[in-house]
Amino acid sequence: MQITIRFSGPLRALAGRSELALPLAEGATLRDLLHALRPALPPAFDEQVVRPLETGAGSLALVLVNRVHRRGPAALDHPLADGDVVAFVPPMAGG
Amino acid sequence: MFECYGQKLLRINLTTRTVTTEPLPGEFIARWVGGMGFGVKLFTDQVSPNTDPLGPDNTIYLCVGPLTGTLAPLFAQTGIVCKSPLTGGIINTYAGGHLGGAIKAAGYDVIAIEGRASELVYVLITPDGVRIMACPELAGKPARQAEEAVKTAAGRDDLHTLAIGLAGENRVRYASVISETRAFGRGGVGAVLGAKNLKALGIAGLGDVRVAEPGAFQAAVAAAYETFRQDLAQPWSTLGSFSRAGTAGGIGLINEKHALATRHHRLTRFEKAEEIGGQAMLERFPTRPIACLGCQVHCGMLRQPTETRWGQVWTRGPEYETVYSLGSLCFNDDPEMLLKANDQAEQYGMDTLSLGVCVAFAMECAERGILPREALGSDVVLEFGNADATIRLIDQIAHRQGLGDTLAEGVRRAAQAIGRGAEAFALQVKGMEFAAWMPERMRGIAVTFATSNRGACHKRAPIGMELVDVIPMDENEGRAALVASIQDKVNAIFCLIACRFAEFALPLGQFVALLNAAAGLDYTEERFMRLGEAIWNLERLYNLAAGIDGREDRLPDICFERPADFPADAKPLTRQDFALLLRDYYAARGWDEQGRPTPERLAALGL
Repeated sequence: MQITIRFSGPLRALAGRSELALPLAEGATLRDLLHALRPALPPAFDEQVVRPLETGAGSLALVLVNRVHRRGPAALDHPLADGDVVAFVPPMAGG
Repeated sequence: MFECYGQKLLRINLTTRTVTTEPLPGEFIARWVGGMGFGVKLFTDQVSPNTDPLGPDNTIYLCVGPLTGTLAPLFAQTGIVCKSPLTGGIINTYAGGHLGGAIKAAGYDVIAIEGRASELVYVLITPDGVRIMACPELAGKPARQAEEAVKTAAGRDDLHTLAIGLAGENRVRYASVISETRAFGRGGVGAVLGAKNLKALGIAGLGDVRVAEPGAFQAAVAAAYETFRQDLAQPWSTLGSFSRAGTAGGIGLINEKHALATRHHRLTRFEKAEEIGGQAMLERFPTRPIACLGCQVHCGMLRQPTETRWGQVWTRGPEYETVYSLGSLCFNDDPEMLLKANDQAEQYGMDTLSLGVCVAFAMECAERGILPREALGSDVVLEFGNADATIRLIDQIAHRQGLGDTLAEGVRRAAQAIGRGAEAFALQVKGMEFAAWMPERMRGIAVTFATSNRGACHKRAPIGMELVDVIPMDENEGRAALVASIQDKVNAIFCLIACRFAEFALPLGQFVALLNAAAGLDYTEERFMRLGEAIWNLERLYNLAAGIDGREDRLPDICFERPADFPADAKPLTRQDFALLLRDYYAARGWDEQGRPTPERLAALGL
């Protein structure tokens, strides 16, 4: 299946791109996607985003799957489906 | 008790050129605490609901709070309360910076400015006294230039200032008051100053701010600093994001949530959002973060003077709300244009939110064939995404020329004047233009926009909770009661006067602890919340008496239309949803079905 990944603001700077399409095996989860991102992106993204998300240490990024913020220990087990859009975004704006 | 207050009101009458000082009784201080509480109570007691907002009887109350000028972090704001020429109701509006500290050091909690000067003047308040100075040479000058002139004339380096620009002098109904790098944005308070012939005010003082219980206060301040420090240290911190890239740093979240009002609410997502967000601005323009008095967040992004195709621009921001109003809403994707438009708004002194909505409204009218596409001249087309049209229209509004004169009245009056069905899509509630959020997508915003005493204001809404799915954006259950509680809480912290962002990290108990230690009061969290509710009801009663009733708790028709890219699996706001939300809201408030506070609720609030 094909997943579209979008990066916003400082995450875009860390990823060095604004968008990426990744093929994943059927039944893949958000954890699998993070794993697949590791070789595809610069090490800084791994250090500041992927690893903190995997360890629950607190990441620079919020992760949205089809616009829904996935958080908490169960988030990484969230199953993905063909055509899903996963967005890495910074915390909210306002003012 | 009350050590942190000046316990004084300075009253300046511009008609008679008299200045008096009035004591603020202890009972009044204990009941209304400061800031918004002082301003709303004094205003509603002293200014008739029938007063002409642009007449001499519309008194301006410039207020600070019990924590202003103390070591407590994020309490630098100053408030203005008066009658809004945009809505005809009460307005409270706030600006950060350093003005509040100067007012406190001068020994005042409130400065009331009444009457109308016979010529353009500025007011100077220093330890040498209060002077009202004629300044015909400042007529038409940018706010920033007027502030510099007042500082130079005063010859003091501790003077802090506010001023209006051309828009205020021309009574643009959403003219702002600029205070150095900050603005009292909403509700047209700049036009009220303009109508009083008051160009600027400068103030300096030498007083210390004392507190009632130094040990307890020191502990409360240390706890507050630690709370903010811990929050800022988290990579996911909203305040941390503001520290790094300003309030527009997280535009991507809103865009990905399909909640970014784009092309006059025709779209929920802007393909070019990343080009105009805080991060892009940071990467493109050399920037220095600046802070208000005693703030750890420093969200103000001061840009280095920048050459644009409209000339050199030197500005701070734009804030997130401006990136929406003059950016996505107008379909503008040019960051240089946003810097220029932000600079125009600062120099003329105009609220960027109302301004952007008015510009986008004109573009929408042109697209619908209601206004000619040549309305701005033969050399520029009035259409979405046209940066030159935006810049020109801003000039015309400030100068009240051509179409700009109509739009200077605000989008409600402009739609009434233009007719042809324009009122159905004018983005306003009670005459105030929409802030940067979509009632179509967010139920909390639908309730907040419809019920705010200021009009379509976003300051008291569960925005963050809805954006990060703590609560679903498009569910009605419990949303109205949540909004009411946020309105009460924000009113209470605006008595102190806290920055709106302080509440992102600081729990209610810490606000109360700081207040009690500084003032010697014994507020509980419950009583503090009831203070906020009492203020909300006072404002509501005033608006009702001014003719703004439950029929104006409504959203324009456009909010019930489905934007073209509305997510297929999301629930759009229906009229049934909205009726339910409003009914729930009145019930949560203890109001009757017409939205009037009941005698029982008022009695319970001690009103």
